[in-house]
Amino acid sequence: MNLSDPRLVLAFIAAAGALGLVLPAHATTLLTEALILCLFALSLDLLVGHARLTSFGHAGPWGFGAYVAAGMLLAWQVPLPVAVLAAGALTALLAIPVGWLCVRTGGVAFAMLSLAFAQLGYAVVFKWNAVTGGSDGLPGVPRAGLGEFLAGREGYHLLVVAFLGAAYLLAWGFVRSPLGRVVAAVRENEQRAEALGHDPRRIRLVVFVLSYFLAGVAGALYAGFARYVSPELFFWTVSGHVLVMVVLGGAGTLVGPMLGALALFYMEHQLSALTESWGLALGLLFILVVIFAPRGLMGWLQAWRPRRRDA
Amino acid sequence: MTLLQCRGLSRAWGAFRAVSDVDLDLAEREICAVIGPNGAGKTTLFAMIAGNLRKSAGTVRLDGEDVTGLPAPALARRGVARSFQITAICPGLSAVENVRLGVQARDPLRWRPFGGAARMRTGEARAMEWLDRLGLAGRAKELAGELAHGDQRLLEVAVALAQEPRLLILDEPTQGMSLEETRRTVELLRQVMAESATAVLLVEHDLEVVFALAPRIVVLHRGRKIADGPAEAVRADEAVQQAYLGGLG
Ligand SMILES: Nc1ncnc2c1ncn2[C@@H]1O[C@H](COP(=O)(O)OP(=O)(O)O)[C@@H](O)[C@H]1O
Ligand SMILES: [Mg+2]
Repeated sequence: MNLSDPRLVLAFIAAAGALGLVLPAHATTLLTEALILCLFALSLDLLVGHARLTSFGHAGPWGFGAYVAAGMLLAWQVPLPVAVLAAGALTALLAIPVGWLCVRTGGVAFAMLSLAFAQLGYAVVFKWNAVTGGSDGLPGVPRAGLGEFLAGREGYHLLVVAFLGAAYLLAWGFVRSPLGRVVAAVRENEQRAEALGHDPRRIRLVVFVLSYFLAGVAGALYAGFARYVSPELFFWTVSGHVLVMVVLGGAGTLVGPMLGALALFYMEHQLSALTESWGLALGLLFILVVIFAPRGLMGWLQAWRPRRRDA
Repeated sequence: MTLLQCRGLSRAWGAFRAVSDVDLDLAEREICAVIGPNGAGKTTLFAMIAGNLRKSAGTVRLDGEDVTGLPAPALARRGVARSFQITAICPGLSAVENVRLGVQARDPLRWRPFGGAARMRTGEARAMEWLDRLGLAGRAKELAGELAHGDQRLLEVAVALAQEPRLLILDEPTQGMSLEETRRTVELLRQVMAESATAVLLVEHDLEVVFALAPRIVVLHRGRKIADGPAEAVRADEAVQQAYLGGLG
């Protein structure tokens, strides 16, 4: 059984949808949130895993998408799926100038620059009281235009599942597309990619924009889920958190980061109920993973398969 | 018809002049070897021509167009392909995918962000032919980075050939290859040169390879061109023998 088989992954996503209909209410809510984080981690994997651009500022597009969707839902009661897609599109638009600057660098400089942009977002929403509600955020975000079922707990869960399934297919299709393979070539050897006629910066910008689009969608779904947005969405710990999900699950595999999101979210819940110092326990666990399973959960699950770096 | 025209190409690092004032013309279909001792500036010269390195002075024209300031990708899109002295393949991709990327480097397909699977398979079939001709067909699915050193060198040449360039620049293609691999590479290069209109610029330390492939030889010495002409004439040249060829004449 190949864990990266897209049919299997879609079956799992569908199963998570069905699970939401039978679980107790609070468990369904937790699962919905976890699936939104799966989408968020998936979006970061395109950058970190597929393009090997380690972003430490993915809270930026996440928060931006959330605020844009919240604004549209509050101001105009746009139907929620429209607001989510529009938020994704605007985040992608924002990614063009931001990415244009970020992809001129790589490595630590890229991480710092992406972090700087997320911090900038934090500062803007914090200060721009009139529009963003400042430190109070924007409460009471409506799930507009969905009808009674979809706006409810189970319905919203299924909506998230549908977005996650579509996002996964999009990312999976991109990675194997002709352009996605060129991204892989740029990742593997910049000099070779140039000799083939590809401009590494332009190619990186493409994947940057796609990653921001999906992160914006994830953030927008979160705004509708929590019915509330606040500057914390932009906080650097959010960026660190999603990066841990990607590395924990196995960067560059698409499935792995989604598993990483589920695993981290689950463990945080279990551990925080058990002990005050759960952060410490998670930190230790992360260290163990990096040392003993450097290719993450996926690498560990597929240890018996021949090594392949691509999803 | 002149394909490549270099005038006064120079490159200095500080006070050190790696390449000084080199003129070099190459006609379509022409095959020219550049030889010279280590550090003569051969790699530096190729890097300037292929757009990998800024020029301190001089101009490059390709097919009449001034391409002096263009970066490597722009030259590649104009039909310049090259192999590197230090192997530059994509280690985490399979051997066949490395070559497919060469086959479809200039295909508009490369911009498609979805689908394209059927066309990619066509490209892959073409890539398999190149691998087969270099005796690498059995290694096609292996990660390039896990191939033996000699196989990686063969792959490096295969990727450049797969681009079907108008100007092929090969920097010590057989370096690190076994005798058998060298023989195969020379054989394939001869075939490709015979069947296509590609012009070739070649740096090669193995003089047997040079004489087998190149009717014309340019000699670089301390960054300067000291000889340029038919292989036999260059071989007999006094200055060249002094500088480089030693007892070969
Ligand atoms: N990036 C660089 N910085 C400084 N000197 C360099 C650099 N690259 C090459 N050189 C020097 O330029 C000279 C020519 O190098 P190169 O073109 O690689 O020679 P060849 O390929 O003929 O052996 C050498 O003396 C080398 O040390
Ligand atoms: Mg050299």
